[in-house]
Order: sequence, then C-alpha cells, then structure tokens
Amino acid sequence: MSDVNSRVAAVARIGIGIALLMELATTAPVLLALTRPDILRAPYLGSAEPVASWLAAAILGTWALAAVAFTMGAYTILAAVAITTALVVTLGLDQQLYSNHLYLMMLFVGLLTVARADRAHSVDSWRRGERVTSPQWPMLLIRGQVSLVYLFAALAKLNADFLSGTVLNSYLRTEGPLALPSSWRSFELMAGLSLLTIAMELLLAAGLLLPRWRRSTMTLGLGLHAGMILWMTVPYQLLVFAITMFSGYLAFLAPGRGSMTVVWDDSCGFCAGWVRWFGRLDWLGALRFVPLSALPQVGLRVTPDEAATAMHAVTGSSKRAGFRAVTRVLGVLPVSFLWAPLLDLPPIRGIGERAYGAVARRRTCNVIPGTSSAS
Amino acid sequence: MRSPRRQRALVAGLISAYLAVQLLLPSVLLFGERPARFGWQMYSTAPRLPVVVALDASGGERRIDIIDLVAGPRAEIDYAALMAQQGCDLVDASRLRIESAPGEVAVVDCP
Repeated sequence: MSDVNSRVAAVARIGIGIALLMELATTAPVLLALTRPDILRAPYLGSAEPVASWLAAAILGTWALAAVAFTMGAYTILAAVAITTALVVTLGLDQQLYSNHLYLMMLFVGLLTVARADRAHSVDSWRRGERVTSPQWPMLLIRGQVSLVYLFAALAKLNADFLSGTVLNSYLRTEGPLALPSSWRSFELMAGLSLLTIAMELLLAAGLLLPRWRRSTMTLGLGLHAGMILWMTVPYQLLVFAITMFSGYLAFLAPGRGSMTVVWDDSCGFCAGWVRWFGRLDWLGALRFVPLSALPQVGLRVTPDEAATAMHAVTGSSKRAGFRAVTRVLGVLPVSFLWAPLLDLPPIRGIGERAYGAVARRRTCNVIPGTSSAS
Repeated sequence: MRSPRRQRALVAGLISAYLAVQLLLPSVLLFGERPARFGWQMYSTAPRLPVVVALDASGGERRIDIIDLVAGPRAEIDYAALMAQQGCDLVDASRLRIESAPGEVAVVDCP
C-alpha cells in the first residue's frame, strides 16, 4: 500500500477538530433541551423519558475534551475513540439529535485516525518525532466519501417538493441585508435555483474525482458553501458543514513533501518577505525554497537571469513564473487552495501579472541577513 | 506483526466494506421516504410541524406552538405521530386536535 504526505491528514484532523468544537454549540442546546420533561422525545427504541442530566453532561464534557485533544493531536487515538463514542451515543439517544454533519464528522474522525493523522502537526509527533508519511488508502476513502456526499445530496433533491422551489424558499433568509425580497421569490427563480443547486452538487461529485477538473471544482465547492452560508437560514451550522467538507477536500489536494520548488531572488527584501509568508503558511510542507544564490548547485531548469526577473514555481515538468508562480504556490497552501484558481481567470490574471511586473521592477534589492536560510 | 499479504487483504477488505456501506445504504434509502438518515439527504425536504390545538373540558380551544415542545426540528421526524403519543403528557388539555397536513386531522383524547 502506498503512503502519502502525513501533513495532509494532520491538517485535515485540525479542521475536523475545529468543526467538532464548533458543532458543540449546535448540539448542546438540543441535548440539554432533551433533559427537560416538557419536551417531545423521539427515541429510536425504548421509553420517552427525558435524557438524564448526568448523561448529557458526560457526553458534552467528553466531546469537548476529546475534540480539543484531537485538534491538538494529543493522545490522538484515545481522543478519536472518545469522540466517536460521544458521537455514537449522541446520535443514538434521540432522533432530534441526528445531523448529517455529526455523522460525516464521525466517519472522518475514524478515517483520519487510521490515516495516522497524529504523525505531524500534533503533540504526539512533537513527543515522538514527526513521521513524513501516512497510509494512502484512508485518504482515498475520504475523497470517495466527499464525492458520495455531494452525489447523494443531489440525487435526494430530485423530488417534486425540491424541484418546485418550495424547499429552497423555506430555507432562504427572510431577514437581514442578504434576505431575498418576497417579490423576487417567484416559482421560476426558486425552481431555477433548485435546479442550479442540484447541478452544482452533481458537478462537485464528479469534478472532484477528475484530476484535470479538481482544482476548479474545489473553487466551485467554495462558491456553493459560501452561497449557502450567506443566503440560508442556519449560517452557523452551514459554516461547520463547510469546514468539515473543506477538511475532506485536503485529501484531493495531497501534495507530496517538497513537491513544488520555489525559486526566488534572495538579494531582494520584498521577495524575502513573500517567501517567509509562504513558508509560514506551507502547513503541508509542499514547498521547497531555492534562493537564486543556491540555484547553480540545485540543477533546476531555471536560469539565474530568469530567477532574477521573477519568482518561479517548478513542479515536475511544469514551470511557472511571476504572478502565475504565485497562484501555483497559493494553490498548495491550506489557507488559499480553494480560491487560488480564481486568480487564473481573466481579468484577474491580467491585472495580477501587470501588478507583479510593476512591483518586480520597483523592488529594492539588498541582501537581508538570514533570509536565504528559507531554503 | 501481520505479513504484508495479510495486511493488504485486511486493507482491501476494509476499503470494500466501507465503500459497500457508503454506496449501498444511501442508494437503498433513495427509494424510501425522504429525507432518510444516513443517506446524505440534507435539505432535500423541509421539516413539517403539525398544527396542534388543545381542547379543554368546556370546549375552549388553544393553539399550541409546537416549536416550544421540540428540541431540534428535523425533517425526518413525524412530529404529528409524536404529539399523538406524548402530547397529553406535555400539554394541559382534555383532547388534542393534530393537523399533520391540510385535511389530515387526528383527535387524541387525553386521560
């Protein structure tokens, strides 16, 4: 079985851990309400007695502690077992506690645990030393899971209620500056938006699996989730769901360690600033920095003259310079990979290239001590 | 330590089992009532809360705001059925009139 960059699973683990902590704010009020005797119970089996207060407190306490430990990667496997137990008990207590977010988070916790997400960016790896690789197969299952979620979400919407636009209409905001005025909520617009939603979900399900379309599909996913958060009635829950899904997107990104070489002019203070930030944000360890002064020893297909003119990003046989190199680098950083493909679109690319050229011509070139160590 | 061959077989088994569950279960659930749990059917329909009216012994009527009795509204749950089972324990009334959809009315006598 092949191995992959362990930092991908590690960053996904942090994303899921944050989503789990945020989800507490949604689930805790429901669970605590179920401890009251004046609330409807919808148990799967057994009596409709209120949930015991001690049980609710134990679940929430375990969930909070285990989610913090999972995010930090402290006793990660134990934390994963504890959080899974808390989620299984929560999901099993009452039908009102079910949520697709919780179910998906539980699956991701399990897959990331077998993907050994504790091997990097974790307290465990700080104690035992970082391992460079993780098993690939759980990350492939995360890819499949993300795609299946979109596929079945789209197929389930193929029903008369949803296609008529009434379901979408009921979930759209009715208050605030982003609320759609009631006069706009015609059958034609609502039905059209419903069809567009289904089409986008089907595109996401297929596009994420196709390497050629993957990067632009991820940006489409950002657009879909941002649209849901901005225009639908439960933005917080949808934000948690988006964080969960985007953590899963990292499995599609999966760059190898040092798979992209960034050639930069180390006589330029401005360039050093950019490289320093790229290094700080390169949580996946995908970038290898080669300063111009070290270029002859490395044997890349970038000449010193080219490197003195613009930053270069080299991946395999592909070489990009200037603004396009910046977009390539942003495409492998967890903070920017979702929106980086937008920078390749006209007119953004044209504006970016002109701005890059103008800055490159006016930059101050002086060696800043220590910057070349970024390599 | 497991042999590499056994380890490969174990991993292949786990992958097959996972994909089988995640493909088959949501596929089967597509043929049932929507939305179904564990089928990734979020936002495919909206939650429907019944209209509930409490009737007292003298014939007086009082509309019950069912959202106050619900911990978390879910589209998968038949709240009309739940009200029929538990409503009398939660609401002070001699009878409950539960309208789950226009024209679908159930009356429950409270003990």
